[in-house]
Amino acid sequence: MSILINRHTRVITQGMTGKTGLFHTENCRAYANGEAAFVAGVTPGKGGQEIDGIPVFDTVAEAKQETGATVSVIYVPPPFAAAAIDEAVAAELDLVICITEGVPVTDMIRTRRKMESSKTILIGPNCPGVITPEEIKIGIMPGYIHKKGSIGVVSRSGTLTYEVVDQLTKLGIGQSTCVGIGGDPVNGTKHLDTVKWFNEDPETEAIVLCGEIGGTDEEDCGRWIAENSVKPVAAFIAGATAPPGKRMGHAGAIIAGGKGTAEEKISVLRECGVHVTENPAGIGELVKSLIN
Amino acid sequence: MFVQEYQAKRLLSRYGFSFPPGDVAFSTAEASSVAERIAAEAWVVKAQILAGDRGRFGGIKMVSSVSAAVAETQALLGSILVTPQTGERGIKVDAVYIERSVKIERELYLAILLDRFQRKLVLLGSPLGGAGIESVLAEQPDTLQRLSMSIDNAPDDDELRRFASGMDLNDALLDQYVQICRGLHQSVNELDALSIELNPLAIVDGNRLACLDVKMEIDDNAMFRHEDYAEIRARNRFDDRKLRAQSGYNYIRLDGDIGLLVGGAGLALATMDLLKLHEMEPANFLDLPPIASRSDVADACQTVLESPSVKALFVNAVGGGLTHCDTIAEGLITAHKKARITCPVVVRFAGTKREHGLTLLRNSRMPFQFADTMGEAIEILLRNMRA
Repeated sequence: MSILINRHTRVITQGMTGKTGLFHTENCRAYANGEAAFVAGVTPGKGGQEIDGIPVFDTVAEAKQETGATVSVIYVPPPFAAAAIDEAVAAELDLVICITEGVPVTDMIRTRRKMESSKTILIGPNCPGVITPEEIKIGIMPGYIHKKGSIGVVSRSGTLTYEVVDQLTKLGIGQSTCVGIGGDPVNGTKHLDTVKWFNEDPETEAIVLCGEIGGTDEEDCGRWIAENSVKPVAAFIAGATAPPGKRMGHAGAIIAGGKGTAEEKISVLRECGVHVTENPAGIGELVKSLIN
Repeated sequence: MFVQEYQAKRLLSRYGFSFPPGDVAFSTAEASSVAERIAAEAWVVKAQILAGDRGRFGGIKMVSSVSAAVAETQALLGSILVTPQTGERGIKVDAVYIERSVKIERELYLAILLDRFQRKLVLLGSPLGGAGIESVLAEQPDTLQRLSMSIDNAPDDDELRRFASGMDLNDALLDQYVQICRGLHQSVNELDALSIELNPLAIVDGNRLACLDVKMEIDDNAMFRHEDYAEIRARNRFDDRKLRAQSGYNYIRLDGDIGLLVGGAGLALATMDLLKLHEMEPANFLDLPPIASRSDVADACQTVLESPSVKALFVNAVGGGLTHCDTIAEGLITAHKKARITCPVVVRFAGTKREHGLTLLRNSRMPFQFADTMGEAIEILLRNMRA
């Protein structure tokens, strides 16, 4: 078991014929069961072609119908990314993972509104993707640092997720699924959704929650954990030392009006029974202490 | 990206806002012709910097002759303004805005912003406004009215009138206020603004609402829709060094002495936290995106090392996306060839192409110090800083 994706998942790549899409599709195919998993590409106007044995379709609906794929990953450039999500949602896919960075905020607000009555799960945009180690990798993360196991990892930041995974694997601790939910403030899946899924997943033994300054998602997640969760949760909040008022990379990471500081997040999470470390080099060790 | 007052006023001029006549000047000669062109008894000369609280700290001057306007322009251009919002280093003034002075009867505050967490637009209005509004609102939060609305449809007139009714305006002014609210809704949409703040929005000449100052932020992600912003971007570069890097990476200068070259915003923040945990101070925040090229890395490296306070450089990268450890290694070597790196450089690589990246660095014969983990890197940095 795992969450969201496993060895049986079949994937459509939206924007597969572009440089980025092509590069990452090749890498994902080379990982574990990737060869069988990546069954279709979509690029409007390029339907009927075949790239490295993968058929290209004009629309997501067509790709779904012809191949039975239920998940898509999006690499299309920012001006067209929201429309690509809309198309995947309209085709009623189960899961859409949008890697594209730089989608305008208003585009995402409109896309989220169109999704209100939909059952499609959106991860991202501006995210590294999702990986269930040794089964399937959908995204841009370095596959080889991962190891199959029982720790669920969720993070807004791609490279911070890799860092946590690297620490865990070096300690011999594997991961059930790693989810990068992305750094944009208007996105699909939140920390809380992911923690709920991990909590229901029998294979996941403990959860790592990587947050960062800005917003109140981590606090919302903490409050739910206090009332519900039965699995241990380890957390790190990046940005404890960031100067207030500056936007540090991720658009979501801005401290406004005293809200969203690392200090506040850490104190709420601790009150909620989450194990928080302030040392980013010590996340792996913290997890080790929780599962032994 | 935040835009200058004069740029915001130009962008907003077609949405029915009333601004006092004015224009930007980059030289004393331009100041003279602008002031002459605007028929007035008195003028305001305003330093154009991307920070507030100019009035209280010498950035806004009242003058009553063209020659005085020129003299104030001369004094302001090239000077460094320090306000509570600029940081200690302050910001150099490269342009002034000269406009007709108006008689202000009362100041109000009106803003629209994109509430990303609620995914709606929000109007914020207060019958109080002007300089120091933040502290006024902190003391009297009840005077601030909020109205949430969808980004696609502005509320109807009745709803806007109810919102405006808290602003203590007569009927004629109320109508203008409602129109301004509509203009804000439309301009946020068409200009891809994240926020527009009219402060003060002032009652002038007894029965007119005029926007005296504007603060506006545009969504960087929407630049591709607005070719006309190219000039604004080019102009604002000198004001904020991180904008020079907008295509490749995000750089913010800080006060410490450890230069940071890190892949990804989350890891960059975490690396800063790790330094401070060990009582070291970062000289900068720097986030290389997962599409950074060798030349982006080289340029970023040079930017970090330009700061004279840097005593050591910490390169922390977990290869992923399209930016692998070997790309970062090549960038470092390129930067070193352009301008010799003399400070200690601690490199920690993990992830994609780690081995190849390390091999490139070892073969370069440059004096790198290598670490396998962030913890190890910190120990090496501490040894360097103590030496």
